[in-house]
Amino acid sequence: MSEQSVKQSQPLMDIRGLSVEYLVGDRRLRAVDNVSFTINKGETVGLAGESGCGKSTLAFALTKLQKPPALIVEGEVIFDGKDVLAFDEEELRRFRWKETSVVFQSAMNCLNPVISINQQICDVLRVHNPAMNRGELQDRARELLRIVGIHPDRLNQYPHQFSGGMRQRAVLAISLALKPQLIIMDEPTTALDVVVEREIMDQLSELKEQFGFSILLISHDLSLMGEITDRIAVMYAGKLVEIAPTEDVLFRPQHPYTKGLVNSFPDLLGEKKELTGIAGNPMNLFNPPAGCYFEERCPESTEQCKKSDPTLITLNSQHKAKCHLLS
Amino acid sequence: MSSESKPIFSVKKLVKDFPTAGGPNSIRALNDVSFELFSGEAMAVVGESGSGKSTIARVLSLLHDKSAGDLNFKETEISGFSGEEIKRYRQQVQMIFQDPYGSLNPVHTIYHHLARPLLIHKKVKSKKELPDKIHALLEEVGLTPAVETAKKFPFELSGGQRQRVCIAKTLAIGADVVLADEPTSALDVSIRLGVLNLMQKMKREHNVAFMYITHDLATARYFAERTAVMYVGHMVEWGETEDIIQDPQHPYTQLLISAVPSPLKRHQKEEKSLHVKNKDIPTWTASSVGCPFVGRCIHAMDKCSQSMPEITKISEKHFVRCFLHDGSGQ
Repeated sequence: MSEQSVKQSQPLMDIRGLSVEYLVGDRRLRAVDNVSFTINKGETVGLAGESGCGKSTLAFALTKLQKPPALIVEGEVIFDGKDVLAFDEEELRRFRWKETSVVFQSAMNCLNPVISINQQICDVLRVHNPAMNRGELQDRARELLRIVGIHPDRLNQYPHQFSGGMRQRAVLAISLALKPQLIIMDEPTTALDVVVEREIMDQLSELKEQFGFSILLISHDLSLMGEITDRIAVMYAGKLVEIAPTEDVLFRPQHPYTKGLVNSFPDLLGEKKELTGIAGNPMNLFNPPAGCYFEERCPESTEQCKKSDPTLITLNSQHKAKCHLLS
Repeated sequence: MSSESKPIFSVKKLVKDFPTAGGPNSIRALNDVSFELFSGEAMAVVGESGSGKSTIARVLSLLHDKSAGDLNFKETEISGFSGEEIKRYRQQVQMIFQDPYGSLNPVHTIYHHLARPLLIHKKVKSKKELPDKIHALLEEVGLTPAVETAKKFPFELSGGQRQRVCIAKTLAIGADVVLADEPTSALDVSIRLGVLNLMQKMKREHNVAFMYITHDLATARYFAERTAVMYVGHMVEWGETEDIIQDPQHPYTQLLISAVPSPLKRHQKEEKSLHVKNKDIPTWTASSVGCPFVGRCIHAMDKCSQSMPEITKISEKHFVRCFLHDGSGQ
């Protein structure tokens, strides 16, 4: 606990009231709606939710990578005292990769198939450190591969010569190249087999201990998050519905959606029980209701839920949830 | 109960080779696979990509021909079936695929998708019965309001709803066996459980036998009474799911189970999970010998690379193929 409070006092990225909209024809679809939370130094924060809840859109917006028709309509992303969203192109270029790197879902497809791994790593290094000479670049590239558990002899190979897990490791090596303080990982292991996933996750934990970076882990897999995150934020239909330390989210969830999500995962260990999941289907963001977005699927909904959208309620210093039942 | 009743499927020493272009050796996707399926029971087949789990379902559904072995369905060998026999067989043995987007025709309504099997397999006496029958099926799989759903096209449904349509199709013709190949992998987490529970209901109320192919051991535990673990075309361990998960015997099963993430493992971090020599998964050919796991196994002995261990009975319903357990090891 004491360790956690130290992390608490040193915020690295502070997301304040961030909203992102997609322009579809003449309509606007609010994919991320007034989301605020903080990622502290050395902390692993999980961002959970089902497909289409806005978690990847949020990841893009944090490094201002979103392209039209996506549009940041309000909010701030404060990194080390500065608002990332106010950066110009040159400031962004320096910020991306050096301060914050992003690993996307299909890492296999992030690598250029006609360029060797060596060159892809060196490209990143060279752009940000023009002073490095050829020998230094090579040494650093070999070191990076070694860090992620790939034999440096394979440096000059091409992506097709790597297995899926190795490609994901290579992308991880590139994301570490400039020693960023924050790595945003969007479903980093979803496409991989469970044994390979485990190897990469173990490696990641070791690297994190070694280098002390923070991680924002975006995933729909709560079991995976349960093992490696310090805190979990849960999104539903673009809104942050609950955020708390991992154990509270998994074992003492307060929001009915989080309860449903936790109750959707059969566990390999522990007691075997009947699970219910969540009834209904994800909502259509084009016709948002007046009340709580989850009301339609919520087993505990009341009259009030139909009328007004609840605010995020602070339950204790670390635990917040957005539900009328808790007020 | 099931041990006394007759199996609906009995597979013995199944082998499936795929020829490779140019090479003298064909790829052996399945080698010496034997198992039984019982009515009203689910058997999970788990393993990594390329372990041959989908090939089993494809051979059983006659999408591929077997290379060797016995495939008995209700005590009849199925590989010689032709014409009318195949049609009758397919009525009883249905598949559900991973991708519900690809298994429905985008230009036809849901009504059409359910009407076709009912007409082809003559499950209705006249077309007048169709609407009632179809609406009842849709209600049974939880697609309500049924009348509206029947009019919709596949693109108007979510992934989970489409998978429910695929399940309704197997119900429509009264299949005895459903071969479900990763039926929930492409679905969203909140939807996944609904589909699993629906299959659970079919199993219990309609006495359907399921082969549940998955890479997700946690859902296998939730849904299947028995589990078989595949590695590179070999069935290395099988038995009751709880035995396999709580007391895995084969080093590969142990590896697989230690890799599955679980929030309850949070406090066991010190116990470093993966014990494995190297990460390369071999390619199996018709001339390969030994245990396929030998290159990764930390317990490997000389004889492991010479021959595949025979089946060892751990308990009444728990079997493993590993020299560590055949009494000759150590």
